[in-house]
Amino acid sequence: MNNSSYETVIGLEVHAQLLTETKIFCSCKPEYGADPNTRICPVCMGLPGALPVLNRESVTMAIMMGLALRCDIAAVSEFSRKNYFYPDCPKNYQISMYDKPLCKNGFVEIETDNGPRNIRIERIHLEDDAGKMSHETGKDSLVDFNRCGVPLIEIVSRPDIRTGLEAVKYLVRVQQILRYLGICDGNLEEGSMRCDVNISLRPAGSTELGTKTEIKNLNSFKAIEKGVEFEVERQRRVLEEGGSIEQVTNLWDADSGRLVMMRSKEEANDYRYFPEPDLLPLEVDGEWIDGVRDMIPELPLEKERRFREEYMLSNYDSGVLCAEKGIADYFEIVAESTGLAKKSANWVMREIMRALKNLGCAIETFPVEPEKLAGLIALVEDGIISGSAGQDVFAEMIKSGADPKEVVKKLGLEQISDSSELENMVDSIIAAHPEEGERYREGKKKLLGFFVGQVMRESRGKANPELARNILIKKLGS
Amino acid sequence: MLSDDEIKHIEKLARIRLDNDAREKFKGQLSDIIEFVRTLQKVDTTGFESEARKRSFKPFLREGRAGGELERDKVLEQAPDTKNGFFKVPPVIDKD
Ligand SMILES: [Zn+2]
Repeated sequence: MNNSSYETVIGLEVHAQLLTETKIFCSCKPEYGADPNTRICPVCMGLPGALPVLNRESVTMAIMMGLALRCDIAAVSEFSRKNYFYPDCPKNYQISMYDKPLCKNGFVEIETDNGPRNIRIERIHLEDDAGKMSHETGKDSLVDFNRCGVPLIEIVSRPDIRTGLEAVKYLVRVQQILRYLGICDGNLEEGSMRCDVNISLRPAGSTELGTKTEIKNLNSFKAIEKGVEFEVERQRRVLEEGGSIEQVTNLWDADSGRLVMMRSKEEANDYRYFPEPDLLPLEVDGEWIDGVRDMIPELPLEKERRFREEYMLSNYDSGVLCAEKGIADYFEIVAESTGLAKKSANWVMREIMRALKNLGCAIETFPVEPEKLAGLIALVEDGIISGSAGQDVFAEMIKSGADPKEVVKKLGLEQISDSSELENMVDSIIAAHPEEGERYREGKKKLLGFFVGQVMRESRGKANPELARNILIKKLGS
Repeated sequence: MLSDDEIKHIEKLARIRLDNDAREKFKGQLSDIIEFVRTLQKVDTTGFESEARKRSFKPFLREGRAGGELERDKVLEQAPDTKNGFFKVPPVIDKD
């Protein structure tokens, strides 16, 4: 059988930790990396008699994501209890939304080989996070409850994704939007953004869904792509051999690059959802939604579109620049003040991004302010300094954060654009190399490069090369 | 009447184990409760709105002001076993 006989159907569940000041139902302050069990109180520990009170900020952030993904926001939504026993959950239930989620029916646009495509969003709902377990093989497990009650949104896609690569593209977009909105830092390794994948195969052309399996514990984009490919291949083999797919949950083991079966359907949990009696239904009125709408910045896709039109940048350039809002903002300041969009884009995409990587710092704390980079680009463009001197000035600016003009003065890098000074220099160089001059005049025009090199050496790189070339051509004669 | 398998499923969900006598006893009691609800469900409620979660006032929402965390020593005091500031529990791998 060939590869096209089955179609892959993938749906994703993304859990995103919201960057609220306090937890979802109590006033504990979430803090990643805090000492274990120091960010807990009777409410998030589920102690008898403690009552949850919903945090307004978490609702605002969830609505933000809902609007950004073009969802309908429910006027009334409801929390339910999802019951299960596990040591990471001291209440023995998770407070989540079940049949009445806050946001419904949205979409995320991704780029595919066949052009842009919408991945539909089924729902986005609010819930509380569980604690964190650390397991030592064969030994006891240790529990830290600090994460209990940290607000999460769960973003559930429809099964519209067809490949591992599309899954990654979707997740990159979701992560980007979360970060643009400033509601989640989207860190897969630290678990502030987590992803579960549902996969099934069906005969090509069929509209019915096959039996699906789930993969959890995918904590990098690479793991997601590989995990999906692995599971698709496994299912394809089973189906091609005439077998049937069992509904299982798998854990991705990053160390071995393999899936480990965690639970089959027979052992599947029965969560016994019921309406949370300690919380009233959540009412969201139009005024609240309008207020949230005003807080939403220009989103990555719109920004990319605008960069292409306004700055005439390529798809690739605008995609790279808009990947991070801070970078996009930085670029815009540089481009506006130089008036040179493509040159500014090149500087930001090469020099700035390389420097950020080397320094391991974010654009927000980068020592060279965009106005100063614009000043540097202008110095190079106006021929005050050479392109290579520009690199030296930039390196110095990263160290000191100084103004480019001061650095140029300090390092004595001003380009010699005074023709009388250059003419004198050219005269003495031609005089010092009569043989090369002769051969040049005999037709070996390539020697012009040799002379330009001599001028650059003599001037310690400060000669304006274009001007030096012209003077040389004139003085060497033909 | 609930079946033996249903009772066993409920035991599993509640993390309790019943002996045969207790299982018989609770099978009767639980079945009675379900029967009682079944009787209630026979009442015709067409035209009535559900009042189970009737909204009589706007829910109170909390503004984010941090504080109120407990002291760790006090929290851990309540636990049967601890290690380096963590709660210690028997080894578990299976996760929902
Ligand atoms: Zn708390």
